[in-house]
Amino acid sequence: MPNLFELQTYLEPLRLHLVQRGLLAALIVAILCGVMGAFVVTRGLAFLGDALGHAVFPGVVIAYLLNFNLLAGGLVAGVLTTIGISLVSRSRQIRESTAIGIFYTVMFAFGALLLQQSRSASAALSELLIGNVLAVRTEDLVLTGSIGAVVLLIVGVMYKELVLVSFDPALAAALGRNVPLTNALLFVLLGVTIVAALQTVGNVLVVALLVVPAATARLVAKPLPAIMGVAAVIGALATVSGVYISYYANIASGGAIVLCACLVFFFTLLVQAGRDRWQRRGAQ
Amino acid sequence: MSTAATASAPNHTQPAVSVEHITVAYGAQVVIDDVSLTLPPAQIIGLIGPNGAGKTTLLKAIVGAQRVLKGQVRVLGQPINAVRQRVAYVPQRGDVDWSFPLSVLDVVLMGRYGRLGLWRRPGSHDRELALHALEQVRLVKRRSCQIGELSGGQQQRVFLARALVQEADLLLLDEPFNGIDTTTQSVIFDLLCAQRRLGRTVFLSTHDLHSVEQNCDQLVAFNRRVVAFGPVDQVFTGPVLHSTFGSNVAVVGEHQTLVIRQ
Repeated sequence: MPNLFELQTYLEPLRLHLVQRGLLAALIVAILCGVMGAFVVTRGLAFLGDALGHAVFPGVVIAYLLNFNLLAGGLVAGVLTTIGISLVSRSRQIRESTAIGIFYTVMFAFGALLLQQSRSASAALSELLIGNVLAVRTEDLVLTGSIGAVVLLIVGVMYKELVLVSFDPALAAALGRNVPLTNALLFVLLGVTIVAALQTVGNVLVVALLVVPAATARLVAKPLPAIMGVAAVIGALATVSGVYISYYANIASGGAIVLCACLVFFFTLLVQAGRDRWQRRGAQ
Repeated sequence: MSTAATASAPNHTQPAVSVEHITVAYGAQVVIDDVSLTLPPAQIIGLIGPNGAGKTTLLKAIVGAQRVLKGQVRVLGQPINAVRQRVAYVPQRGDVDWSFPLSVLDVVLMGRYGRLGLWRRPGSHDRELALHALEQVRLVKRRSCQIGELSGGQQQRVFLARALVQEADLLLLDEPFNGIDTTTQSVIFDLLCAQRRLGRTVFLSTHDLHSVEQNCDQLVAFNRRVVAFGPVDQVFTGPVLHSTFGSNVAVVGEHQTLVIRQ
């Protein structure tokens, strides 16, 4: 057990380049998930997030088999799934959740079948299910950073349109805005964020990093930009703690990061419940 | 009961809305069946009909938010795409999620988005207009509140303020009196009357018949098609209401008191 009160405990892992790279990539992912998570939580897109996490899987497997960049492969599969869901759910007979349920299981099943064809792929890709920050290479870090910059830039530029379509699609349509296209943009940004998170928290746990920090932020912050900021900070804190825990306890980083975020969530929930109770008593 | 041509401001001679033989369907279900309607300018016109009559669909078709299978819609004499900035649309209050983390001012500023376009953000002029509109609906003190903290009537007034900042010549309101208090109702009607004095046209749907009887100039009785259209006293009759609302409405006594079963 490392001594928590010694500076050395915190500096030692950072001497390793692979820890530096992994931590940096995980921090970028945490900030990205905080910003996109604010949309996920306010619009109730947790299911879509979970589905996209699974749907990128066949893209990653194909990329591995073709010796292509894994994240790029996942990106293509995620974007294709998003477009498919948007098109199918335009029919009035098919609810969006049904379209999501169909598409992501099809994609995941396809990925599982592909994975069976190659034993080396199974071993190499199992990491992407739960994430491993120490496997982040320099080119992955560059790609994650670029994805992060592009997503944040687009959210920044299109912020008012994304909020308009999220809050009042009827007004957006009346103002002449292309509502399906703007929604598709939001979903693609979500898919891209998930792909960026594959290596650090893995495709199964990414939904937790999208939902938990933003849900915590919603308990304490009010306007949407504040929720984004607080969620990014909570995600970053959980990431740093999770990476250190995974380093010293030798456990999977994705699980450690997500459990840390969940701890913050339940702690905030408890504090708030306690405060409400105290305020009620004070009011009597 | 035909379209009553009424005196209006000289620069507002063309109809506010003209709908010609439009049909709207969701899949195989026809919601609006071959409807034609011409709304005169500078009036407050009520759209009455039971739930499921297609009132919302008609408003959305006028504003171009609902695809029309057949027929033509012209707004202020032009296709909707040419005049979007001159049209304000207020959806039903229940259509949006009021727990969305937005302030009152944020929502009112959305009324400016039509003029701002895709890329520009609201500036100080837009904020001034938004605050002025909030003053008109008596909510300026609550401008920084989260919209979820407001009562139903206050939420409806925020929506009205958002329509006012559009400075539109045609205002379309979907069920603005649904679940609100009488104070809010009179505040809203006072403001709509002020809009009419500016030569603007108001078209609002409701199933609250008493409010429209007192405050509208003309009424459209609607149930998939136009049952009747004209001055209030001509539309507000037992036979018309009966064929619009079916057996859900009964006209009782010599004062024509209405009984509506929902």
